[in-house]
Amino acid sequence: MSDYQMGTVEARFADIIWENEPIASGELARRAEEVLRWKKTTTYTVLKRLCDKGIFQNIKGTVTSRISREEFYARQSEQFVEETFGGSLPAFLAAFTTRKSLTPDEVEQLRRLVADYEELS
Amino acid sequence: MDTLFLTILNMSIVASWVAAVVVILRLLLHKAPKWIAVLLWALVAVRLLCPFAVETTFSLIPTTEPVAVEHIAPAAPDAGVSAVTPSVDANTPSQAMPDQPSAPTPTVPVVVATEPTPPSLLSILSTVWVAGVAAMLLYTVISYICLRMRVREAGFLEGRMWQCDRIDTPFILGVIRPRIYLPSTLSSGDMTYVIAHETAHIKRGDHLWKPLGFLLLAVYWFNPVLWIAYVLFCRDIEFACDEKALQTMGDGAKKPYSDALINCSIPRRLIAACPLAFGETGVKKRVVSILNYKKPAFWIAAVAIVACVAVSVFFLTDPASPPEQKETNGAIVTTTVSTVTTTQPTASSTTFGATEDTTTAPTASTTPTTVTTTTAPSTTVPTTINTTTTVKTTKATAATAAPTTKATTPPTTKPTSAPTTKPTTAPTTKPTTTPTTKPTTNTGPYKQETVTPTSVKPGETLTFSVVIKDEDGVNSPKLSIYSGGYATVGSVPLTRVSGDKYDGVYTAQFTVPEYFPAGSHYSGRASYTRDNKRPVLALGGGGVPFTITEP
Repeated sequence: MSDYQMGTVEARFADIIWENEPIASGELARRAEEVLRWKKTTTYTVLKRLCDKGIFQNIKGTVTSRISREEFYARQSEQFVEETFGGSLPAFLAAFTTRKSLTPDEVEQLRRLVADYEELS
Repeated sequence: MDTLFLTILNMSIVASWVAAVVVILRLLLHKAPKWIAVLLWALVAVRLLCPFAVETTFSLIPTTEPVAVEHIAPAAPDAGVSAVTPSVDANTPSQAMPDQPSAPTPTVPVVVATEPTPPSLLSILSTVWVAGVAAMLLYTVISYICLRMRVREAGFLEGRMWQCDRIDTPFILGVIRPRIYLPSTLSSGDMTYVIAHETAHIKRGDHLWKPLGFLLLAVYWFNPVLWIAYVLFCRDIEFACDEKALQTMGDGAKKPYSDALINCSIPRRLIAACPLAFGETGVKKRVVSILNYKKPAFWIAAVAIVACVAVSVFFLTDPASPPEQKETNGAIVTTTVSTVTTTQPTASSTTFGATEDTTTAPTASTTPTTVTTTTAPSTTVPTTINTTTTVKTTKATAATAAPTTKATTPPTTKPTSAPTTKPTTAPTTKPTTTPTTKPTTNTGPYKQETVTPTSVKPGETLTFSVVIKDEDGVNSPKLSIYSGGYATVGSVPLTRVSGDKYDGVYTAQFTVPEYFPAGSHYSGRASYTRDNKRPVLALGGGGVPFTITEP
């Protein structure tokens, strides 16, 4: 449960599950074939891998998720900041803003986020 | 197999000369569009694929047979026989008369005792060559399989483009339906240019030419000049592809295109058979070339095309055969059984999903001819002219061209005269051949063997009859028995029954030992020494063959 990395193609496959769960594995294979042109064996291989990572689960032929899409990407970002900025979000933001300045809209969103957070805690 | 290898060896040497010329031309024409360089490499490939070519007097090829069979397959009759000759000679008087067939028998076993001759150099080299080809093909197959496995999880994008998590550089895979695989880490900015480049490759057919080139390299792996040629060929393909992509996109694309190229370049192995990868080949040079790209002036293209035509004429044609050789061709009607050595292509190569388009068939089909022709830089062309297919005929004439140039290059002289192939029963062939082929003037040495019968049981006797004409005189003529064309089994002296030492008919008897295996093929080849001890250049084909039947 510690690895929240996913390749772009894997992410496309994961999206199929997130958007259609709960989904029968056979139906999932059919959709993967349609969208990604994957063979059945490929679908099952990747599914098993994602299940082993703890993101999805395949119980009696039905595939459901163990963490939601939002949570997955949240954890992925967390992992990224942890690995790259030593877990310091300010450091990340500082790095982020050296290349691109924040738009007034984004500044407003950040302000509200911090305000909401302060309210909750 | 040995003769196939010999053809391959000779073809590769000839192709190397052409390749060297192309390298020079490439340097001279470096300002010309690169598709011309690729075309020049295609000409080298043609030379590697076709064992024979149209003969013209413009040909700048010195010889199509730089390595003749005598060079590396010393028939060693002299070595083997000299030890035996004393005992054979001692029996000579009794062998003079044809009605003493039992006379040779006691000597032959002695001769054969020296038989376990080590495999000739040619056989060893052939075996090494085959092993090399197998290794190269194995490498191709394995790397193809590895790539296929890696792109198993690739997701379809559109058209022929697929996206894959497990690759880090874009490439093309597939010959019939080529697919462009893009790494998922490719930035969307670079993507346009990468796609333009790979599409240009497909439009140019590079996904066919490059594997074909590698296949040729697999066959000719032993030749370092051809490796260099392949590397340069790959580079030129990339340059030509860049040019084509930029033509489509316009000058404004130069900067972002080279950016994309740099982004995608990752150090890789120099020779990758399969993928036409984006950033693989000589990135720095390509970036420079891209940024300097201009539509070339018309005259440069014209000069380049002229150069291509010139190379074709001068190097894709074989040297013409000399006139006097053709005279003695006469009208000998010999049915050669030399096609005994039929070899099949060793590999049907599967490159990148296509099993049908790359086979080594062309080289194999001409194997039979080489049995006779590589040993026949001589006047006795007739043997090869009348072989069964037209393919062989042209190879024969190509081979006879060799002698003219052999005169100028260090002569490939060996004391043995090469055999002519002349099977079929003596009565039918002799009457037809002797009158028609007897040259009116003794323009050169001539030798023709015949044997009766052409298939025998062990224990039976063969009668050999040989016509030899030589202005320098025929001394100590002998007939050697060869197994498979190179290893000598033994020999018997020839006795003259008519004519004189300058123009005579000789005969010898040979009793087949009991242990000669049934179904095996042997041949008898005559040789002699001249009055002036001048070496006898290889004459004729591979000797007259005979077969052993069930006792």
